[in-house]
Amino acid sequence: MRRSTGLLALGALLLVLVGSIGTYIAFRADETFGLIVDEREMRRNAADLLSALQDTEIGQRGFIVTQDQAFLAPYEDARNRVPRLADTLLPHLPEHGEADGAELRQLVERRLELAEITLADVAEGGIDRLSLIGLEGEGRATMDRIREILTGVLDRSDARNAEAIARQERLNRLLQIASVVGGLATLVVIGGAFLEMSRQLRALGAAEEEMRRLNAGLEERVQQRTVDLMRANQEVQRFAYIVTHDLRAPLVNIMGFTSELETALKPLQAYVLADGSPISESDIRDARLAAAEDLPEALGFIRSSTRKMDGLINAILKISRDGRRELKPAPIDLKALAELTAATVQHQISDMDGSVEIDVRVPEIIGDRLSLEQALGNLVDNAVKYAHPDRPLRLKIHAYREGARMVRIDVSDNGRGISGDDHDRVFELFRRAGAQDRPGEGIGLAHVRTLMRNLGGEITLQSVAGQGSTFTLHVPADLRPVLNEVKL
Amino acid sequence: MKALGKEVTIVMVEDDEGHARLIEKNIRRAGVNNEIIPFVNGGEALTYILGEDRSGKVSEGRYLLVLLDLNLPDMTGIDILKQLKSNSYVRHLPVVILTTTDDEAEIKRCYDLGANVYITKPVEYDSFANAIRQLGLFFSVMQVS
Repeated sequence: MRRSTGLLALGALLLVLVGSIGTYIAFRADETFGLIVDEREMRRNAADLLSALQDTEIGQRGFIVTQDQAFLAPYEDARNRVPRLADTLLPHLPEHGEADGAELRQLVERRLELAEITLADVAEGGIDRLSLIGLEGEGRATMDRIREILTGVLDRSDARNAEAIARQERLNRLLQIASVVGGLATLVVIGGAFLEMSRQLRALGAAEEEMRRLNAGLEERVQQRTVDLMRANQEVQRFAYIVTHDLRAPLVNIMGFTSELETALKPLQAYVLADGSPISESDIRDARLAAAEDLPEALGFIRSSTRKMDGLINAILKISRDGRRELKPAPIDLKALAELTAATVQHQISDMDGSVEIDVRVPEIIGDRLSLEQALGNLVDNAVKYAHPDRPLRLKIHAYREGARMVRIDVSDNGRGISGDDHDRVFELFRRAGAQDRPGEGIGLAHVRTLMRNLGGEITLQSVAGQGSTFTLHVPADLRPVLNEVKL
Repeated sequence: MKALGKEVTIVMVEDDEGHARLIEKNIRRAGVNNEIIPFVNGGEALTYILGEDRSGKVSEGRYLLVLLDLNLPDMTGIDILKQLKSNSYVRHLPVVILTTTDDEAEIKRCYDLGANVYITKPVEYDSFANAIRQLGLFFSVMQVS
């Protein structure tokens, strides 16, 4: 950008300079041309004057020699021209650096005067040879002097003319150079303008492209956010459904067995509060049954249901706390983390003759250590807990890059697997799949999913019932930009 | 309680032990003395009704009434209902849905799938007991037909 504008400025400066020089040269040339015209005019006048004077001389001599009147006509003609020519020439002489012409005027007048006297005397026939020689001698001397002066004027005029022409030629050459430079400057300006224009067009095109790209990216992000929001909304509804449903179940028990308590109270009251009135055998049997079976049973269910409700509420609180816990991005060596996690179940795996394979192909990631520890720990515990009873456990933890910004951690086992219908269900709170022969609340995987989503990640499952499962944690390679985006 | 002269067996699929006990007590209190076979998860109940091979042939000639809780640990009651109602041997067996939810969409879904009666387990114990007694009436109707 700087180069093309610099070129433009330089070109413009050159053009202005060439224009000024051109104008100056044009004025100077005009002036010189005027001088030349003047000089020519003056020279022609001087030459004419000289020629007219010479004509008078020729006419005069011809007449003196021949006494023929025919010579008088050219003499008269030339003689009449002389004063007019002298008047035209003489006042302008100083302008051309010549003497003021006073001497010349006297000489010319004297010359004509002498010619008149001589011709008059000859015409009367009364001129003697001596006075003729005297007159002619003075006349010739005067004429010589005039010729000398005028020839000088002519010579100098020629010299001045030559000089003016030479100056004119120099100006012409200068004008040519200026034209060439002007042409070059024009080329430079056009080139600069062209460069600048094409650069701006390119910049405009790039900006437009960038805008289009950003726009498309924005739409994509809005779409992604909308999908995320809808998913979150559905999850909230599903969560509310599960929670109310599951909290209601023990509540039904509490209310139900409270009513049973009331029912059992009646035969007891009939027996204890009889106040001496006769009591039948069946009344006694009912009262005994109520005291021995119905009352303890109802109390037992009320107590266990209350405990269950408390457990559910604690589980919900735990998940909610996980969602609110502040994440602390720190560098994590996934290989070390996987080894540490595998070590916690090492003795159980050894007991069942199982094996663990760890293959980590990612450099350090930036993540929340506690979340990843808990997630990986949960998955490894599940693999051990739901190992297939007929074969030793083969547990694999593989980590590798997924795209530019994600890392995936596969936790695979050859355990009992999960049937396709339950692939979504296992991640829901309080839901479990398959035979219910292992202790558990149905919290673990729901917890892992919450952890992953808090990290801007996800957990997915691939499993075939009876063959094994692969749980995959998808986590961002760097948690910090995710947190920044959430803050926005 | 009989159907076509044979005793009807009640299959109760209910994972909550307390609910199972309350249902049983109220059924008995309503004067129904048929055998009740309880299951605490869907898998075992399906094995009993449809057999290990899930063909349903085991239930040929059986007279069963299924009390089905929708909210089970290993699978949803909806899945069980679907399997029962799509099996030609057991399709005719009456299924009574018992659940704590009164979600209308879910009730409609159960009826669409062929459930015969839908009873919500209310927190109000009296109406719950009443619903179970209604179930007793339902059994009597069945006995007549």
